[in-house]
Amino acid sequence: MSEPLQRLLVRLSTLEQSQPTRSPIDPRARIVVCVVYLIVMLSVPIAKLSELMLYALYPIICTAEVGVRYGAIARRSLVVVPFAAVVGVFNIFYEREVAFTIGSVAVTRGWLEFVAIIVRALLSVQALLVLVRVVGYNRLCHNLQRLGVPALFVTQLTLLYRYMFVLAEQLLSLVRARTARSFGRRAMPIGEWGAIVGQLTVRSIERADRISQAMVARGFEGRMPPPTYADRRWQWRDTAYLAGWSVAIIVCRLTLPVERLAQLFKSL
Amino acid sequence: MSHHFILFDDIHYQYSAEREALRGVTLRLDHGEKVALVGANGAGKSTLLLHANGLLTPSQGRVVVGGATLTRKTLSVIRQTVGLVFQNPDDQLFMPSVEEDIAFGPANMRLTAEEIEERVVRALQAVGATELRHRSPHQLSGGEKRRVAIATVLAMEPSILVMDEPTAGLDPRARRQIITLLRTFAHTALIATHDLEMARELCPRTVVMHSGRIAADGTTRELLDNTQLMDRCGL
Repeated sequence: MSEPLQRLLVRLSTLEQSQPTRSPIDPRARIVVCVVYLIVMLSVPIAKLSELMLYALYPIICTAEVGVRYGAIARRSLVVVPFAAVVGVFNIFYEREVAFTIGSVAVTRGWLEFVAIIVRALLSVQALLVLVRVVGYNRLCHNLQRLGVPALFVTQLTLLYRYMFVLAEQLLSLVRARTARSFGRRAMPIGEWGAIVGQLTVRSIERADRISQAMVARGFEGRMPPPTYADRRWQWRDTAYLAGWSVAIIVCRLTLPVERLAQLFKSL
Repeated sequence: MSHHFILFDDIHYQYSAEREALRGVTLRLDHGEKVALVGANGAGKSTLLLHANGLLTPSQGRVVVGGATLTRKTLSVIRQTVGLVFQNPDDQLFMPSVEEDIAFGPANMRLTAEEIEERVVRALQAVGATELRHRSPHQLSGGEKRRVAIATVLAMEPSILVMDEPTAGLDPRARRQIITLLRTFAHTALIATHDLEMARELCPRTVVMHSGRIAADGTTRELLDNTQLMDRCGL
């Protein structure tokens, strides 16, 4: 378990690598477009899988725009698949009506909905990963605050990233200590899990207390101070970016182009 | 008389009814003095340090910094005057990057962007960590973290430095770097430590704590050479 944890730490540390110089768009415009995309994409009924696939264009175009490899983002988004699968698996059993057949294989609506739930989850995570990759985690938090997200929430978000590493390192040391004295026994009884989780909780609470003291000692009064770099000014191209993407995404949702195209082909 | 003095006047502090951490500590540090605070684990050193800038409020007694008694009203000014460096730099470095962490204190002091930038640069130069500016705290080594933690406090330009175990857990080179760094500071400093060799090198005066009280206060050489005292206080 300790090796996957260590790999996770390394992967997490790449989240902060932002490329603000490559992106001339104000982070606030990107955040709002991402929110519009998520709301619209998640509003597409799960029965319309083909329509949903169209929304994969957004993360692909965004990554191409800033020169990030889409494959890397897509691979990283796979982490959400098991969770989405747990949510969607029941549709397979409840919706047994046949949607179409491929040769002698009948595909039920349940299976289509199961796939649609996974696609939704993947697209959501990809959109967020691209946003973090392009804007950078710290700038993202700061610009959320500029957009009026409550300071308490932004503070939590900022500290979450920083202390994810500390928590993971503590978990790593606990797991290593356990491994060192378990003489090859890999199974972990529930009692040991309980002890480790309990230890982590107690240590986290103590640490939270000390961090709070350190923040208060340096004048913290509940609001994260602005970052050291100067904020970008909103420009006409930010308005164009925001309007262009929002209109495109909403029009896609309202006109259902894939369905129309399919009907067109059928009528020919 | 200088305003860079700190006085702990008959400080008592109880964590619970059964556990009295401080039992009447009286201690005064004058301008430019470097004082080592030594004692066994649980002697009350860290608890006393947390009183220096109002993170703990004494159940009895008072803390006076530069003539101002520590109260709710004077708290923010005193927190700028007394810079507290925590024992574990992972508690001190909570921002996502080194420069933001150093800018955190000055930004809370409502300084302008230019002033904040100047202070960040000066603090990084003072601890010799300019090249770490854009790094994330979790990417730093133990010694680097410690130097950056000191920089975060220096950026607030405090008159008095209070440090908890600045050399604990460091390898010999990093320890030497921290000692060399601390030697360059002209601040009034109270340094809680188990590193008695560092105390000898840096602090002409030492205060020995034992069971929440001051067991001895005198010149470092005299006290550290007093084997009976050291033995009695668990050192």
